Amino acid sequence: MNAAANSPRKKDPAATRRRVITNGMLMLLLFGGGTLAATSEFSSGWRTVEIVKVTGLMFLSMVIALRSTTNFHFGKRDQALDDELTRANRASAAQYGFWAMFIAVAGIFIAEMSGVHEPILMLMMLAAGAIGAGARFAWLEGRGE
Amino acid sequence: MSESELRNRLREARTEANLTQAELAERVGVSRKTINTVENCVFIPSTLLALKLAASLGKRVDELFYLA
Repeated sequence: MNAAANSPRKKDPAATRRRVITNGMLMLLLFGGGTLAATSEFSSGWRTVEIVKVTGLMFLSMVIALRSTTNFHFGKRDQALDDELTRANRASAAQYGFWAMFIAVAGIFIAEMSGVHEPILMLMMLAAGAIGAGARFAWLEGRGE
Repeated sequence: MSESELRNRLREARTEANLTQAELAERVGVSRKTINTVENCVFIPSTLLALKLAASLGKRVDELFYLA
């Protein structure tokens, strides 16, 4: 049993969590970028496929934000994944997420004043907050590995 | 006045006790990553964790942690 516990092949749940957040952010950037590129098509009215796409991106942003800044988890919780280092990392990630969202809101506000009216910009605010928090959390969690 | 930094002798004490980072982490109920970041002075532990670490290694807190 000890050999298994010390085996380098044993899955580290903290490393898995970090990988999930990093991959989620990459997906958000990739698909979000694609959705943003198609913004002009949305302007004339949203089709079901676009609503599904944007809802999916919103859900992904929410998952990344939740995993980076809270202990929200379905099923059994591992106490070692909620120790004081993780809580400190989450607090820092939440702060970064807040400022990323704040800057995004300011940018979008300026864009709105300049006459740009795109509903998709609201999604960018969410994505900016999620990516800000997720990137900070993934970087902090990677320090101890 | 210059700022003091918190340093520690956790790695030496752990090696002396013949424990791996994972074993010490399990004893005090934190992740191995937390032990690693404390040993490398990346993360400053709470008083509670410092007391738990000292107790599990049979040392006093001021033997493990000091200002430099």
